Amino acid sequence: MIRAMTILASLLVFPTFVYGQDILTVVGPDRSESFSLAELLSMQQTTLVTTNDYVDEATEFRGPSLRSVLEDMAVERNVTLKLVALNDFSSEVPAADAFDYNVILAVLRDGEPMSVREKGPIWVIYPMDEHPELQDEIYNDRLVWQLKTIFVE
Amino acid sequence: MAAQDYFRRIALRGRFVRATFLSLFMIAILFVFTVIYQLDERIQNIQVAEQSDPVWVASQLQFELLRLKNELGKFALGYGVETDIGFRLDIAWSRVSVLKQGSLPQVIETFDVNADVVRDLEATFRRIEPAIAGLVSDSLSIEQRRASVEEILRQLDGYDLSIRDFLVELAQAKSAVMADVRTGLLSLSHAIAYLGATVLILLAIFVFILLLDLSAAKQAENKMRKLADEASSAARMKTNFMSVISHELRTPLTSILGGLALLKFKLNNTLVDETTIKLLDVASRNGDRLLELINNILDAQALSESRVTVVQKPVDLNEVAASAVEDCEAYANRFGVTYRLTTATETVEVLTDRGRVSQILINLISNAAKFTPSGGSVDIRVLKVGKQARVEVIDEGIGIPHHLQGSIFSPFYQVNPGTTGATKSSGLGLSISKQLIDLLDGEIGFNSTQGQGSIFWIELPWISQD
Repeated sequence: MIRAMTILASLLVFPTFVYGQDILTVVGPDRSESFSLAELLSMQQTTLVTTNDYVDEATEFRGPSLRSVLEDMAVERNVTLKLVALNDFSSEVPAADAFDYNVILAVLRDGEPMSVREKGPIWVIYPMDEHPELQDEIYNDRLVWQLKTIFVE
Repeated sequence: MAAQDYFRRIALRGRFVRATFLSLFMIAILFVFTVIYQLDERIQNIQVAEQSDPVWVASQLQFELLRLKNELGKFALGYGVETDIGFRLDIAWSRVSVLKQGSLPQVIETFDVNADVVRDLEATFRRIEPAIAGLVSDSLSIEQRRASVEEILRQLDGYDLSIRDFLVELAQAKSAVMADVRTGLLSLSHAIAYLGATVLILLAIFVFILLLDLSAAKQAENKMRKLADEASSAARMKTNFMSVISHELRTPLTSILGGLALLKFKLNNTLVDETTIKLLDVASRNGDRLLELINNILDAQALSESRVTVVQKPVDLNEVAASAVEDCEAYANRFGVTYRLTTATETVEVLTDRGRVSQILINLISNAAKFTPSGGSVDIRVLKVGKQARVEVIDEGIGIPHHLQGSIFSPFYQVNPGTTGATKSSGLGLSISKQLIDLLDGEIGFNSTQGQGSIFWIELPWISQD
């Protein structure tokens, strides 16, 4: 309850993204689908507590798993995803990552939505503490922040 | 002696070579550990250098700053959208926060680059933030907006250059670190090459020592074989010599003894000179002893070469004992000793070689007479003990000292060899008897108390009548 209120309060504080505005678009071969923050929050949430090169200490991230989003779009594991950020930076990621690991589209950091200044609104997070093999330069590049669009290629 | 010296020399040399080899090996292991430690260190360095490249993030910051200024310029010229300016500010700000969080500040510190510009830029962002938010307001005239944008751009002035300098410094520091890493890797590759060489050398030494050991072992083996060959051929020559001598002695001795017997028989009829008869007796007695000795040597020879065969037939031990006593009676008379034979009431039938058993018994019985004082007697008893047929020869002679009892069945063994002059023998009799009874699957043994006499016995399995 308190968390929900905090979220609501934060949403009011960060007017950049209106609660109901679409923040993520997934473009598949046949169709594309857009999600608002509210929609992403209403999906099955996964919580990861992990570190990476861009946080000072182990941090709690929460959001829908990339796998669930892909499964909704009937995306196979052998394709490549092109993750595009707000500043048009893009990174190519094998979809298999989402099936092999608990990769999440984090929308909450320590229970609060993330502003653009703090790598929000969506930050792709890998469970690096849980799987030491992910603590590698290759996976660092896949931690796309300010995620805007996922192209399924 | 020479062989011992030789082996000691080889052992010493081997020990020295092994110690050297071991020290080399220890040094090599230390070397390996050093190289592995260094490798670990180098890898850590590479990781630091590769980690979340600050040059890339800083260039992103520069890029986003330019885009922000571009958006501001467009707005000042009247065709930009004010919300895009806020968005560009947020994006540029996020690059500042990336440089300030996580591992990047540490990497920048390791590079020893002054990151004040990042802090200053954030302060400037904070200063211009209200002005940018104010651009959205509709109440501003175009002139006011332009003035506001100009003010904002003036605040951001100079950061192009300072961020470029920051970038250059970062890039230089990074390439310096990479150069270090390269040098380190190079020296490491040298170290690994040395390591390989060391391992090869150690391997060579190892093989060399192995070959050395092999050749030493071969030499030692050859030497030993030679010694063994020499020893066995010497022993063979000795026994051959004995055998030849014995054979060569027996033939003339038999003629001499035959001649003596004939002479004595003839003189007995014609001459009554007692001294002559006595001399003849002495001669024939000594001849007999010599013949016995030669026969014993030949027997011992045959036994040692396993040339003796036995023919086993049912024999009554009572008879064998009786005839052996009879054969020895004349001999015992010389010492003034009498025999008392006690045979078993029933036949004591054993499956054995009559001649060989007789030989053993004669040996025991004559020995007993030899060691019994004149006027004494020797008891011979044939009896059954359990499943065994047993012959006991009991004398009241000098007995065998306790400490010598263990070795009386050894060849050439004599009790008191020096002092029993009158009763001298080859010392082969008991040894031969022991070997014969072994061949016949029987047992021989004795009980003796020094000064009180001895009981010698043999046992053979008797044939059950049922």
